[in-house]
Amino acid sequence: MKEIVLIAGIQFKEAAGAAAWFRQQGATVYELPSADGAERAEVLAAIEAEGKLDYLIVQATHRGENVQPLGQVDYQDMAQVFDKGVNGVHALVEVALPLLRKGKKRLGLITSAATSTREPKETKDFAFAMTQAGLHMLWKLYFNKLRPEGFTFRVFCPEEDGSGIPAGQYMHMDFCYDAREEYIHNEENRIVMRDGHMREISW
Amino acid sequence: MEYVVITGADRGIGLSLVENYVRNGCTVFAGQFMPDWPQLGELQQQYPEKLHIIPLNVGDDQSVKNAAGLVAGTTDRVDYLINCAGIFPKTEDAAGFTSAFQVNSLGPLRVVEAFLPLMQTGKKRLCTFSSETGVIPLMQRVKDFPYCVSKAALNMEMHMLFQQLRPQGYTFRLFHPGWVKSYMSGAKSTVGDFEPEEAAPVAYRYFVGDDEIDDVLILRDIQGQYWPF
Repeated sequence: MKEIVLIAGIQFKEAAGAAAWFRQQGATVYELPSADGAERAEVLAAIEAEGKLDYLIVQATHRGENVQPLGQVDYQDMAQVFDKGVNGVHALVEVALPLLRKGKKRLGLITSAATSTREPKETKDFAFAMTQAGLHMLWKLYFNKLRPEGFTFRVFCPEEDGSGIPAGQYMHMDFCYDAREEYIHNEENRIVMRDGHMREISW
Repeated sequence: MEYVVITGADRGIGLSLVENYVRNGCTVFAGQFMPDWPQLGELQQQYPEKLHIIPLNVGDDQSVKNAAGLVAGTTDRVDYLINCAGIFPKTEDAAGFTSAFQVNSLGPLRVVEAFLPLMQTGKKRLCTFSSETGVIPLMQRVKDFPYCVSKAALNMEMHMLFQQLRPQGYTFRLFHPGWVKSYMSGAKSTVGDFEPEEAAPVAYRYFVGDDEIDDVLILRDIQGQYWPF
């Protein structure tokens, strides 16, 4: 059966690349420019007609538009970035869940290794980094909540130089290495961030 | 004489922390969000010289700037800045995410930013109440999404502030008070492992202590354990 994919955040090159990758595999791909896009209801209605959604892949790596040093921080800008990111993604996941439950049940997040809380390389754009940290937590919470239903999760940090595997391929890969011994060899029972070379990134 | 600013000082652990500091001889500027709540005023009557109440809503840019202006009118130096104010949103919708982010995540950044000029000549210690709910690797909850997201964002913010301010001599104390019977949901919680009056003295000793490794950002809990955040 043809796989149905919804990719939100197509304005970002990695998400756009994932859409192209899935199309090459023969999937039907629906796109949203951003998770909070006005086109959301229309696109979801079209997916509803398909009867299921296999993959919801989201990228919301919005940067602050007015990044300033301490003393001049633009809090309105920060709130807007958070709203587009966390609120937009949360709302999209919630409305897509019923369709995902009829499909492969995979939730994918494209993020940035620069926003690893433990080792943040992003040191100036608070809005960007704090929103990504919020999204990482959101994915972990959804993992806790939905994994018992059979959902699987991907959190991918593309390489800045474009090397390594593309986001689409990573989202598509399965990590249950031996179905006969699922308890030990099923990587799906934990949620991790990885980069394009499959290196695990600290949260 | 050391000067201390404490946000969220109306009640609970913030109020108890104010008492710990004034009892130990510090001058405290206590951020008041709820002027109708009597406890902070009652404490001020006991320490009229040492305790100054300042109106403060950490979710509002102008309120934070005004508070910094009020403190600057009294002292040219702040030694300890303590981010204690926090909320637990009642809803798991966009309003809940936004309010938690504004207060729990952006609130400490607003306060740090506004008080930095006063801290330059002080002890330069930034203290913040974080939580296990912001620790992604150990997160086990299946609800409370807005609160947990806001605390994860706060932890990221602290790492970024640490990178920027540690080279200027600032030291950081991040504290997870455990499950405190707090007022964050409005009324005082009837469940929890610790009373605010039990958690505050532990926080006080951690905040004033100089025996930590200051070149690494650490999240420590009420039992002295470090958290992998």
